[in-house]
Amino acid sequence: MIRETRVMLEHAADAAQKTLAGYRKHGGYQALAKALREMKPEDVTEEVLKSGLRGRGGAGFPTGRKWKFVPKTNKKKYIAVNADESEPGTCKDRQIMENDPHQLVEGTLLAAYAIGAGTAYIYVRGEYPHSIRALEDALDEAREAGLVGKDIMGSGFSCDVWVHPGAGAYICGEETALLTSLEGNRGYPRLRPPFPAVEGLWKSPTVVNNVETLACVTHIIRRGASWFSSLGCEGSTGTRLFCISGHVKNPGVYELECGKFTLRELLMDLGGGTPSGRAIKGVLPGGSSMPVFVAADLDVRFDLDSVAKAGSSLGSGAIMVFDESVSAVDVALNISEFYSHESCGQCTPCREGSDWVRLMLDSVRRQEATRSDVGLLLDVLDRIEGNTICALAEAFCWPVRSFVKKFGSEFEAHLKERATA
Amino acid sequence: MSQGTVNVTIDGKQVAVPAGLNLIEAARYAGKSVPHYCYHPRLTVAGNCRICLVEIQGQAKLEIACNRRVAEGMSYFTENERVKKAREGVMELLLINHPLDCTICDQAGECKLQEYAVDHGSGITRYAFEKVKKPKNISWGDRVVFDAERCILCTRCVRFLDEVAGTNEVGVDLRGEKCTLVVKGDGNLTSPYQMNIIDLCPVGALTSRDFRFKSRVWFMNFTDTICTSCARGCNVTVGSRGDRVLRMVPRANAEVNDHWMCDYGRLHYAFANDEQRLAAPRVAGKGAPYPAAIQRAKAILEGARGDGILAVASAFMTNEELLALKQLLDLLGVEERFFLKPMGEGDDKLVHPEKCPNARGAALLGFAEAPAAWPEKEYGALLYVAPHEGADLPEELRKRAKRRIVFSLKEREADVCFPLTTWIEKDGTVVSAGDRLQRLTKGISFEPTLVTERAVLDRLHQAFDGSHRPPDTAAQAFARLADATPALAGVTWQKIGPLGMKLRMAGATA
Repeated sequence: MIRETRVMLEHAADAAQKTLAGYRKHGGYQALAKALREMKPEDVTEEVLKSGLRGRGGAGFPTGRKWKFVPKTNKKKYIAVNADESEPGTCKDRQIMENDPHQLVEGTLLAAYAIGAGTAYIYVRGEYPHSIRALEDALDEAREAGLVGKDIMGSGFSCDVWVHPGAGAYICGEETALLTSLEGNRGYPRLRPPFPAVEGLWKSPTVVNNVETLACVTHIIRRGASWFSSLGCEGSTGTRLFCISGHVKNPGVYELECGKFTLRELLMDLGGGTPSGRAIKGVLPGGSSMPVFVAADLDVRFDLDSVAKAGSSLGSGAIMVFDESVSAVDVALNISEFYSHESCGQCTPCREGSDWVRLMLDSVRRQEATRSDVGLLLDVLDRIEGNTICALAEAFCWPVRSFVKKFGSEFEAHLKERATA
Repeated sequence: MSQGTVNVTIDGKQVAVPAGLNLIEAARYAGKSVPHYCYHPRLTVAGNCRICLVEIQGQAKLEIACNRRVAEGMSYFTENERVKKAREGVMELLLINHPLDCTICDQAGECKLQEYAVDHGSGITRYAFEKVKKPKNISWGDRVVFDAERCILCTRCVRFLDEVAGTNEVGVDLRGEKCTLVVKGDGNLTSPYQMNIIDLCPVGALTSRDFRFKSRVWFMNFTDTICTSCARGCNVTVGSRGDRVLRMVPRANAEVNDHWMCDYGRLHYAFANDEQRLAAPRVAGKGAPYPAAIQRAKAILEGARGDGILAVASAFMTNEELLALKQLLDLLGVEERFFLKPMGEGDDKLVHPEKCPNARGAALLGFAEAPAAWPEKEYGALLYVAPHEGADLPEELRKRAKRRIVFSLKEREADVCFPLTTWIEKDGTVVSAGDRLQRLTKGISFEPTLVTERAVLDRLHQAFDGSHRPPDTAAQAFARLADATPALAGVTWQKIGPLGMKLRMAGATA
């Protein structure tokens, strides 16, 4: 039986945890006090590096290494917290923001201290009014208590933290589009190089971290890197939030140690299996932008590296399950509709291609496509993938290609030849 | 950053290129042209069109050539199979929602979509769905017309107005395949440089209200010359057809106008096409052949020697015309030699307050700026060359002479009237702002029988002195000028070249 290991969500059920007093009762701001009094900024980075923490936004990049990319210059530096939780199926960051917001504030301040940032922005998804309210209340209290702003805890370190609501574009969760949006411009992803750690907000070095990532930082500094890396498994240290949705009996957000269970165990033990009792047909293991797993894939050990080796990704931690009653073509079409709607339109392949892919999948669904049309679909995906400014193109190319590959017979059954035969 | 050279390998060919170049510019050194829509050397890199994808050895993904700079030892491919396939893919995607209305599009013939579709496209479309409908024929004010369906969202116009014009007035609206451009405020552009976005637009999305539907570009002649609307002397290419000017567009010159010109200069050419303009000489209000007009002018000048002759030149004249006039005045002993210099408003970009191209040349050749008030006397004769649009003879001058010889586009009643030729009807040189010597090049003949001012003045000179031998060609005329002018010593017509040259003159002016 899989059991949760609650670190970030340990006190989520405690209504008082939202307040500064409640948070302090559970050791709140001790990590910040420790860092400011006992650690040099580079020590904080080293500790995070040692912990093995990898980003929780989707790409899984080692957090400590990201921080080390920040050049040691006198230029102003920024922290941008990616709280634009928009990947379909993902609802984990809001658990932190709404139930334990100080945890994020503390992690943000620790990151700011580590890289020498004097300002941090928390870019919150616009459709998350409760998160925005909770964060603003927490920041008001923290500011009042001298934990945010000038000369924090008398240490000489100053950092302002501001909440910035997004306006409903999925693309603003892409880290460079988030920065462009923060600057007040249309949320367009930027060309890399330069990377944000070198040239981010207003051309200054900027670290963009996910909410859950920074929540982890709080616990790493409070309890130490070796404690953190003792949780989970190699390559996926610590605990991780998973959002299970779709055809399961017990949907929800679970905090788990990776490497200790397979996807099947997770869906059966915690998810409780399908409500209808029908077999699981497919699982998107890391948000809608990742390649799909079929029933035969479910015995994969559920950690970053094992899932990657199996051809998909933990992504944003959103696990979406559909059973045998669902048409795979419908799911693929649904995914492509989302990305076509959310393509920012900046670069050619994604702007033009995302809608073409949607139309082609729609023609498959309507049983109007021929076998060569499916070949065309795959060829068009080839011409889009890898040739765009940001990863939104991959976000629809990967799952769509995986659906055609893994549910080939179902696509085949939809073909016009079959339908009219 | 850009010091020295680096060695790179482009499609297997080793070349040394200046450090700091991007991969598009560097490829030119290997004789390779990398297609590009959004990239422009004077605008920030947007990297959105994706047609310039190249393969850099050692990198898994294709990279856009505009956003990468050369590094020592770098090797990249601009036309291997992988690049070609990606490029063909981008081309196909650019065209799936494009209306393909080339037959009614003004850009046809100079459209990068057409050119690259031929060079890099597959020749067929595999898109079987209805194209996205967007608004067409949208007015962006009195100069620019926008067609949203043709637009490929390269944002060159957006960036020009943000970064060069500074008016920040165009932006992208909506998302995905519905994306389109919008003008802020009332939807009318305000920048006095707005028409540059028409040249920048690589497709037919932005067209000139002035030029559109006037001619297919393949029926036109193009002449590299300069704009004469102010002293800046922006380098331009004049497009003409049937000896009428149809448009003027900037020609890149980093020392003068970069890639741009102002709308005023661009649109200021109608006077050259004016069917009502004077096209043959007149004597005493009646049409006359050139020889008769020249004889009458000679007689007037001879008869006026006692009462004095006032010469008023124009700062629209070329140096060579001014020299011909100077030589004539020297022969006649005329000392009162002035020129008119129309003034107006300038700006901090290209527009110069002197609304004429050659005040510096006129001064160089010994003409004085017109006094605030003309001397209170009646001259025997006035020899007056009007500024291009200086319409008629000003009353102030008319009343100061018994007889008048006038070069102009409109004057018909003076004792002798010679037609003026405009800047696009002659070869010659001017000295632009910054003491830059630049060439005018003849593009049209308004009437085949028109004689340029220089030739008229030389013939008049010959009428007085049969030994005067006028120069035959523009190069010869300039050689005479260079001989007679210390500031031009050693300069030849060839040396000036299409981009002009900086003169080293005492008291250089802006």
